Amino acid sequence: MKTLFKANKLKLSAFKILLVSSLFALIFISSTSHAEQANISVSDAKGKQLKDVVVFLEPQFQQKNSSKPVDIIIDQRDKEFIPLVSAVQVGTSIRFPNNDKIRHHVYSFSKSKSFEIPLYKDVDPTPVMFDKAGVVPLGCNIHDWMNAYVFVSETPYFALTDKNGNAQIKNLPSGKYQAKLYHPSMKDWEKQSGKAIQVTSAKTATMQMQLNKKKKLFRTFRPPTGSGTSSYR
Amino acid sequence: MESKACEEKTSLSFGIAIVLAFSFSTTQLVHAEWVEFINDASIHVTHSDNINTSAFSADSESDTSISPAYTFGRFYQVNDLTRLRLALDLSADYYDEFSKFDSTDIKGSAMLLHKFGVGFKKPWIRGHASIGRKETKIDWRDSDLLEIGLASGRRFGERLSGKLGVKFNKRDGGSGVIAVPGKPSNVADMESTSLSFDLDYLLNERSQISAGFTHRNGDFDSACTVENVAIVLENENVDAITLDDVFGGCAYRLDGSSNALKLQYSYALGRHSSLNVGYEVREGKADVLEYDTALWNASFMYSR
Repeated sequence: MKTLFKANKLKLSAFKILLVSSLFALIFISSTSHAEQANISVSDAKGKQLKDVVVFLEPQFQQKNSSKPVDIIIDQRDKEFIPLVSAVQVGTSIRFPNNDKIRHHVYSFSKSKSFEIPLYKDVDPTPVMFDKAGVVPLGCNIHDWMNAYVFVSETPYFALTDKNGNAQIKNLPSGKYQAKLYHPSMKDWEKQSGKAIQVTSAKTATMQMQLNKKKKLFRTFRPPTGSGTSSYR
Repeated sequence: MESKACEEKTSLSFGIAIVLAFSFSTTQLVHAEWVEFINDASIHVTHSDNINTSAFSADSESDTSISPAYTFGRFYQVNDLTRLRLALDLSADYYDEFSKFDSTDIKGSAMLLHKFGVGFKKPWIRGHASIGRKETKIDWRDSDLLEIGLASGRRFGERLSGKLGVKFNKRDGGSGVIAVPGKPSNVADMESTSLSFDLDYLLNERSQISAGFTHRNGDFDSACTVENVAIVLENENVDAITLDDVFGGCAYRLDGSSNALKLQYSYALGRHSSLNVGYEVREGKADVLEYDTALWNASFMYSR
């Protein structure tokens, strides 16, 4: 009786191992079929690699419901928003902690998101939900030179270029996409037609794109030019 | 002239009262508190081709001065749009050749700044007042100082900003040696009103150029050698005259107007410091004589 019980227990354990292994295999297979990657490098007309450019891919096929976007932080340190450019998916909440010892008054009056977080420090204000696609320029009403830009993307497939002008977009379903760019220096970025890119499981898709800056992007090191009535404060 | 000065002071006081009214009418006490400290230091080197503001080219003296300055203070946030700046300003001028012209200033200043809404292009208005003391090596030049001002400005875009300001200055000095019988010797007692317009333009993320124009009306002091005193007294309505220990000859006070145009280039070394070079030309006129000065300056500024 005892032996029979032991044999059954062993059979049950083997079944469990088989089941778990199958599940892992299933997850692995399904993930590899969606784990394609696109490497896109961005430069200007002179061939200089550009950082902080948002590269986003618009799928030319029916998308499945994507997962909930991950919330992010835009920090304030030494009277500066960090980072200068952020890219988020529609529905993302952004936290605006103030790590300065002074108060900031964060605002935007853009069409995509209009909000204000009046003067605050030493508190973590309620995160702001970015629920409409577009560009949201940020400012501080006390320190007028503070600026930052949030690109709110319809598609979950986007990335920012690094200092070498390279962006990696991972976990792409196979298919055709239209690659587009956003940078605060661009005018009429909405009117761009983009560049077609095919993503397959066979190899990583690569592409080079060119961005023609139309205006100088300012993140000013506001120079002190005097104290009191002659200064900017 | 006194009534004119009184009217100007009344207008400025009225303006500052408007700023106060704007501020306190929108006060949300929930945000009222002391906020940022002010720690600003600078050192200027200035060369003037006419430091004694002489009308005679043969009498005009050029010299270079070095001027350290330090400001300590704090902002009080009245509400979301209004802040009060209280500061103690210390500065000194040390001259290379005419060291008797050296001076030290100490001032207490208050400035109330109100912004008309939220956004970097919203205009602002501010009123300020300061009182202080100037100490020199010549007794009659030691003076009490008063300044009242009103200014308004706005940014026109990411690069360009401008401001328009008016200010009243009063300097109350001592009396020197009587140089001309019947003429007062309180040359350092001066009142003036200035109207200024300034533009700042960011060339790139570190560089800024500034241009400013100032029209000034009121008293100023000048100096000339003994040989030219007769010409001055003959042509100008001199209000006060005394013997001048700094430049020799006489120093005198008269009423006139001047225009000043200045240009400055600023380069940010980091977020808190800058190197600046500037040029300023002043053209003044009293009754008949003209008083021209050109100044070059270079400075290092630190602002925390």
